[in-house]
Amino acid sequence: MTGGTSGDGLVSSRMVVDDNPRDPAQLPDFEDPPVVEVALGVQFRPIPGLRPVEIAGLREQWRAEYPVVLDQPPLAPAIEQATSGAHTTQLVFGPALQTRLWFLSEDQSSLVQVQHDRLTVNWRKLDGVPYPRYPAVREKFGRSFSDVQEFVTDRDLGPLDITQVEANYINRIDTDDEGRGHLEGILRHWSSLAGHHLGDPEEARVAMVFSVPAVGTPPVRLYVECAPAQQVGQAPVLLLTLTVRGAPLTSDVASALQFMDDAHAHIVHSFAELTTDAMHEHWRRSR
Amino acid sequence: MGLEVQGGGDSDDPAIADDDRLYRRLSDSSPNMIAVDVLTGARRPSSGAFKPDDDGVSVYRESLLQRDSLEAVDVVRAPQNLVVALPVGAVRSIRPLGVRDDPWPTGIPDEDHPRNAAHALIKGWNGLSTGERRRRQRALAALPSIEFIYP
Amino acid sequence: MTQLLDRPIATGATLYPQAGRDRVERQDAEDFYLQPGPSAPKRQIFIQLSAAQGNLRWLADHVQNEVNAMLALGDGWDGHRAKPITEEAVGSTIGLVFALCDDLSLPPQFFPLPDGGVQIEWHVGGEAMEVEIDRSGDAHGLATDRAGAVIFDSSLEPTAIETLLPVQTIVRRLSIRAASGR
Repeated sequence: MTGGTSGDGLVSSRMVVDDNPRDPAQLPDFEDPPVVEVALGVQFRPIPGLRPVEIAGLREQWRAEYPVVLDQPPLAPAIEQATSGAHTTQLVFGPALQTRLWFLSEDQSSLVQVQHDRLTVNWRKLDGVPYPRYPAVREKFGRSFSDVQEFVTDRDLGPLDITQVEANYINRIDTDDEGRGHLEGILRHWSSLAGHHLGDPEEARVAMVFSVPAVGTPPVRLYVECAPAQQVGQAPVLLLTLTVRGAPLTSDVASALQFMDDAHAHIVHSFAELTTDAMHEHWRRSR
Repeated sequence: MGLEVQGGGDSDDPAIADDDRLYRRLSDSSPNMIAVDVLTGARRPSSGAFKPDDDGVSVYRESLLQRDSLEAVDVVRAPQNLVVALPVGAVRSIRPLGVRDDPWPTGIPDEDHPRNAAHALIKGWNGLSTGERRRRQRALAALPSIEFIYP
Repeated sequence: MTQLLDRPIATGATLYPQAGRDRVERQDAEDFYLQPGPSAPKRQIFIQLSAAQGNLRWLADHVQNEVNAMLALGDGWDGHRAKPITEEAVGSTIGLVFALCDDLSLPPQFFPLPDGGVQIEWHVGGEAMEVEIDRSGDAHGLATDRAGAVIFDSSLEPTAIETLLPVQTIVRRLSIRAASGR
């Protein structure tokens, strides 16, 4: 780790990702992070037989932990591809898109999403439930994947060939109406636009895409977006979203979990590097 | 087109006359195997229609079909099928291609159909590079003597 | 308009809809996906374009229709020993079409091959450009002029633009000829 202390004694956040970026002891840590949702997921080769009516068995298996089941519109494929040329296409082999099922815990903070080509496990901050930390969400993903894999194997529906892995962290930063245009308080490298002849912007959005080396099979990318958002009846907020997505080295779950671990490390480092020391103090940075 | 390549004797039976014709079954839908020149409107088989299987390009000899009182329509299997005829001599002019009889092939639909007594293969593809093979496929598809004989 | 910044982020996120641009509403899904019927085909492709490719929707629809027709072919589709078209061949075919064509291009004609591959062809005024994609997805281009002389004969690497440039040039020329009627 390079850098020195700033005037207020906080360590500069210029981090050098060393040889073991996944080592939890080397990751930045916050006692009160602004994260409100974590989603760890994989996309796999479509399994036509994984339809809602067939997933009844999973419902029974998961009833104790996830008693609430809801139908949702399906998610479209999201495949990282090279950007050579001016075009990208995505292919889906399989029948018309099936419904996505949500399996929810009683307090709805834990969620497993299943559709015929995708499995995602979410933690959501609802009613003040504290962030259980990455290892706990990862463990739930691993268990859920094993259950689904056993399910499709027992019914001879086909293998779960993982094609994409995705790790998502959504951070909610409370602000007021004026704050939606003042990203300089949140993002380290954003400057105030008070000198603009129109004054500060009413709203601002920042989006970045980074190429992530040495993780999975290229291309693997980190998407960062800081943008205003507002739920109905709620105060406006800024969402700082970090997504790492790409293909794992191999199509098995072990490779996917390794990808997630690497992705998590890059997300945490990026979150610390992109945000201001003032916000770190607010979030009680401990490492 | 520069198609002079040394061929092997096993690819051709000289007893098959040059003026015999070979019937090749194609279709113009489900699947379509007929290429259309968008300027001239000319219709020709796609060169892909002459891509060889492991043993060659499957055809039926006209003389053997006629021997058994069969016609081009008897080579057809579906309403969208059509039949083109290629003279054996024209095929042989595309060296090193040749023709050998292959009666009663197995592992195909309607194995017992009488037409299969007239089944033959356009051979001579072994040892050709991808480009050499494709040039010969193209040459077959572009033969001036190729004729749509059914429907 | 760029490509990467329009990509969906946080797919699977649930608390803030704006956080996931990939959320496909029912109506949007129907724009892209066929509804299953009593004889829904076992294999279909659905081509999604990024916002930057919006002007190529016509090409995507054409490719989608042609490829799905070929994907419906089963074993022995030629009445002999032909094999069904492979996913590898389809993937390479689509990549090549979008690499070789632009919004002014003459779209290719599509043909299945008995080994499970695909062939795409352009025929304009006696000239021909044909690209063979075998069952493994490997591609080879062959072009002939009006006299039948070979003017291009080489393998193609979809990720190596230098192998595609000559074919792009030929396709562009054929497209202009077709559009001009000469």
